[in-house]
Amino acid sequence: MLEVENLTVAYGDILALQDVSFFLEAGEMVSIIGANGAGKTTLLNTLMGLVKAKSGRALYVEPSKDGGNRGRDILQLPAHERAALGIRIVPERARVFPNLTVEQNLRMGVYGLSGSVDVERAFGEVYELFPVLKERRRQAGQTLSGGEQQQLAIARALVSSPRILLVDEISMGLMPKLVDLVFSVLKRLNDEKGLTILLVEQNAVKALAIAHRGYILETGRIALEGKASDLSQNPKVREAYLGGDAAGGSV
Amino acid sequence: MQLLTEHLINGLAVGSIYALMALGLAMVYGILRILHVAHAGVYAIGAYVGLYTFQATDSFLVAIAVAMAACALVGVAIEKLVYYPLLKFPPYVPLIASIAIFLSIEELCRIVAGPYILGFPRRLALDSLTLGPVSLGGMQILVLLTSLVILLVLWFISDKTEVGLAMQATSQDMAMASAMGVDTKRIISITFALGSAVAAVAGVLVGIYYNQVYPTMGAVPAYKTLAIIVVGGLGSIPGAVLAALLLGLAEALLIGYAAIPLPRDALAFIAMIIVFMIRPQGLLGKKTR
Repeated sequence: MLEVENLTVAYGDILALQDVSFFLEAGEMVSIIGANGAGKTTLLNTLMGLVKAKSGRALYVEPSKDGGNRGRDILQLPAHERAALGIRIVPERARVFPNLTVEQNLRMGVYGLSGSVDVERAFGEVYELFPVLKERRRQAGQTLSGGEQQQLAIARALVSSPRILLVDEISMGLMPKLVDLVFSVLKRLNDEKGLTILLVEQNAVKALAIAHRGYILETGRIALEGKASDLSQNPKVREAYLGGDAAGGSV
Repeated sequence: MQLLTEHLINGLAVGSIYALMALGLAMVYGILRILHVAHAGVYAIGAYVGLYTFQATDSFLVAIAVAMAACALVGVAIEKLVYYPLLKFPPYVPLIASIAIFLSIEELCRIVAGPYILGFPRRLALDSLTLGPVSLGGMQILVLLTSLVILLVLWFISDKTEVGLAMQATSQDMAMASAMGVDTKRIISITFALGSAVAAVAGVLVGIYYNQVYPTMGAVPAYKTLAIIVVGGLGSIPGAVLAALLLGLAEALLIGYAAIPLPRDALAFIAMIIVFMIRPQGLLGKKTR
């Protein structure tokens, strides 16, 4: 569904991503594991169109009705056109619109889609997944707790019925109970609705536990790839990302 | 007592004109973080276009409409040709460009219309209204009504329409808005068009209220509106409206009614300095940004 080839991203002279290649099949959940500064957020932001790529391609193959599969390099499109294709992001630190209410934040999730999405139903579904959002629907985004903002960020991405969901470091700063809730919601969406999810995480234990496949990102390069179950057994991975203090990762 | 109410109504009328001017400035600052000094130039253009259209058609409504359309175009041109290409530079670069545009507009008005003070060819025939002890002049009714209508329309657009929601989202987090499918370039242009059209209304109203249209008429508003949006809280649109109304009233009451020996135009800056000292985020501003 998404095929990334030799993606390179630089901030000035500093290479943030170097020749990164990976793919994402329709209906798959893929985790990209890496320590702080490995380039995980850069990767997702580049796919969403918030950061410019220096070189490389990201072919998005639309599941078209006529059976043909035309690939399209999304790196050439501005962010809002990628959103229209069905690529949505749950960004690092949620980034809800601080002065919009919860409901207005969700309305932004279906911006321009009122013709193609059943808004009432979509809102009903996310309110069912995250009941606290329904309670707080008239409150401004900035008045929510960190965990509630994360839930709102997920809900805001889901109401559009995305084709590909990019999830950035969702476990960061959340209470363990909420991390469990959020991961189980993602797993259910993937299992039951076949939603294609690309997850980047520092929390390797959780991320590999729910994913089909995984990649290890180290200082801007893909260091390892494989089935999630294999990766979590790999001694090198265990030492670097799963040992003792899994949440801390490497320094 | 009657003198006091007259000053109050006058202050309210002047304040609502300030509000119309400051609105566009607050909207532009909110979305691009640029201090759009040239906005006062757009306002002067609005006054001239309104005056010429009024001379040709003899209709207040047509004059307002043509001035709004012309200024919307000028505003979008400034945004597309000057600000957008300069966004990647530090904020003082677009600010300097903005001052340059403002001076150019002043000179352009001088060259095209001459360095004179022009008046409206005839006073609009407006009845005054007497409500008990309060008597409202026709001009004041015109200014207050027009401002009220414009403010209501703007509130409706920004609060009740999808475009308005996208404008708010874009000013709060442009990257995230684009990730939600918002064509932020288009939203920025719409913001400039709206803000400039409202400045045109202010220009026409001032031209009629004081019966004066001249090339440098934007000079005092240029810095006064900056003070207003700082007092209201940078980027806060309700804050800008509130600060504008308060300033209009304060000018009328302190300088007009109480006759404090201060230049009228100094008041905005005294207010700005006080705000900087005791409430730097402004009346309705957010604490951190």
